[in-house]
Amino acid sequence: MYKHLTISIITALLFILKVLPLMAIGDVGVGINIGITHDPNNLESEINKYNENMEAYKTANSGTELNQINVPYSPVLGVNFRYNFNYLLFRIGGYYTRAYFYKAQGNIKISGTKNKIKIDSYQAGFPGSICLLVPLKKRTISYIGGGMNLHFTYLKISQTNPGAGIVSPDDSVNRYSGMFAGFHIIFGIEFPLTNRYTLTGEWIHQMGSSPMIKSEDTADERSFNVNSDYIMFGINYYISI
Amino acid sequence: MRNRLIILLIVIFLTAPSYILAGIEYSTGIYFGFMPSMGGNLQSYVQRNSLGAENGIEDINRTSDSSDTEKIDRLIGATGGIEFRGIFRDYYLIKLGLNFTKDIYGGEGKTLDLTGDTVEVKYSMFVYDIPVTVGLSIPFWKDVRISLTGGIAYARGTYKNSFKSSTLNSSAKFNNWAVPVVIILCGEHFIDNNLSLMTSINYYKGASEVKKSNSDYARNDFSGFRWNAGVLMYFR
Amino acid sequence: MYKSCCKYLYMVKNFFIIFLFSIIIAQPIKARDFIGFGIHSGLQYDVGNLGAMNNIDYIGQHSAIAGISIKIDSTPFFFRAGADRSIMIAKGKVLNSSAGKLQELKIEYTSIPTYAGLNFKIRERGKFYIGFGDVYIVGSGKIKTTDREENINKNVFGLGILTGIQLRVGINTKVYAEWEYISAKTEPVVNISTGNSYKDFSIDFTGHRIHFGFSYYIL
Repeated sequence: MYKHLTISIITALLFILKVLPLMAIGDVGVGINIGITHDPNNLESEINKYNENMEAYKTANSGTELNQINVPYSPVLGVNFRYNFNYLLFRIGGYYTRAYFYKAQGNIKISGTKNKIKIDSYQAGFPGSICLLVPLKKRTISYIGGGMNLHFTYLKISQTNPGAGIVSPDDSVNRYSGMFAGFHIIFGIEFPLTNRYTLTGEWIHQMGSSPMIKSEDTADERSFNVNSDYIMFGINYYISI
Repeated sequence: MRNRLIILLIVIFLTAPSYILAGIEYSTGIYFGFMPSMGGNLQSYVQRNSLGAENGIEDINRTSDSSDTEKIDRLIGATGGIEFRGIFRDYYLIKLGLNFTKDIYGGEGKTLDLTGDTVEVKYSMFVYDIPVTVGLSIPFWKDVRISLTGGIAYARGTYKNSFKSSTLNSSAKFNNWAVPVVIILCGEHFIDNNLSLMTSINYYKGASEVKKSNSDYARNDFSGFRWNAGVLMYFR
Repeated sequence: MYKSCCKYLYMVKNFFIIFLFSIIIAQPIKARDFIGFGIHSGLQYDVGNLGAMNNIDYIGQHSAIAGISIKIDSTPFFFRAGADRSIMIAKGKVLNSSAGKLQELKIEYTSIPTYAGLNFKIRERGKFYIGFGDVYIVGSGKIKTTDREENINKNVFGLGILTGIQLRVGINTKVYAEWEYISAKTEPVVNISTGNSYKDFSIDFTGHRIHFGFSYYIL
């Protein structure tokens, strides 16, 4: 009887040992990342419409001078917390993007009066992701996953001399801000710099649109569309638990 | 601003510090692929004002039972290019490429205008671009390498459109440039020490200024996804 | 005789225990890695791709995806086929008249993709792959305008790009995650502009999907 019991216990122990690598406790990390995106609040089509209006006005009205409105390039700054558990990565992050260096602004001079058009927008997001990862060795991984985002967006469209029908609605200022949920898909790679520090590269494709948001200045309302892609590189610090 | 940025990036690439250059692993490659939707929505002023289409090729298609129309498909582009890469310290990657993309399918058909009259529509596009991207590249033993890079590209393209009906005869050609943001995800499988098969997904986002051509106004949109496959040769 | 039977059964039982013990401690000789069958589920946001219609105010349709796949891995290439069924979770809505008469989208579809590409095998741990292919989509559903609610049934071919990773969790079993992009659009199916009777709105299946699944390799 004791011999059978011994064999059974040894067999069970061996089974557990085979499974045990799958039951590691995991790694917790915290990181910062920076990146770039183009037109994070999807204003390009609207800006294009205003630019076409300006060019058409210029053709119809000689003497008009203009500088088209740029579509913004935005740097992105973010933080993230990550938990690697076996072949799953759980990631919660936050990021902020605003066009500091290449702003969306243009102007049109009609009969000597210059109308400066500025479009200022920012976006803050909080993505939560679940990813499947393929490990090479400790903290050298590639991963794909997805999850939900919480977005905060702000938009301000201002004109110094409205009235020519270039911008719609043709007001001197309209400000909108709102909070809404969205989704994202993420692909990333990570490798260690030292025992505790790693470098990551991530491609995030995000999707989402808001309900109608009222202007703080007029009766106008609009929705936000945050469909865009981000490329981000970062550094993480890991604590093994 | 754009010109200065391009010059700065090229200068950085060509004049990297010597200690980095000394440790660089150089490679060059050639690849071909396709782009499922070229030119964005190909929107222009004539489409909005004369045809009532606010979204270019995305809503130019109209049909009715009594009309002779033909679906206008999105432009599918064939793309190809070469690239030059430098990997330093095993993990850091910088790439310079040269790509050509031309539409090979789609962009032609017949639709209806606001009065129900048949309009013959034609779109076409040709783009060349020079992407400069930097990023991370992870070697998995000597078999496989996975890279993720991001950067910008100098893109120049020619977008042509024409809309012909009994009341409308518009054709335009827009030659324009822009600096789109580029993201490239690439995988390599090594056949031997110096040769690898590669495949990549490329994402471009950016469009040019609006330009005038005849009676139309439009920008060249270089945004979209591309898939490429090719070979890379390492100089070791 | 009874004693020799018992002794025989005792020997068989011991042999069986030893055999089981050996299987548990032995290493697998070779895992199957050529043909695998998988099942997966996933999500797609904005079915109908209302986001491509610029300057409209909308909430995208959310859909769950349930699918099966067959993957043939012949390093360095792979071939993958399958079938995916999209099931609406929340309908798509236009929030005002920014898209003419269009009010709601309730679209479901079955897609049959075939992909080919390169497989990047990470020794015995898993794989990373990137490929391209075509997709045949059989679409159905309802489109609601201010006039009426139209039933639609449309099929279309499209192009796709796929990237994914697979991780080995057992000798022949793997889990996978995929990011899929499809570009496909039908001809116009319903009228949404005021003042005209022609059809001018198409069903656009273009968009991104994420899949998570489990596959078993038989060869």
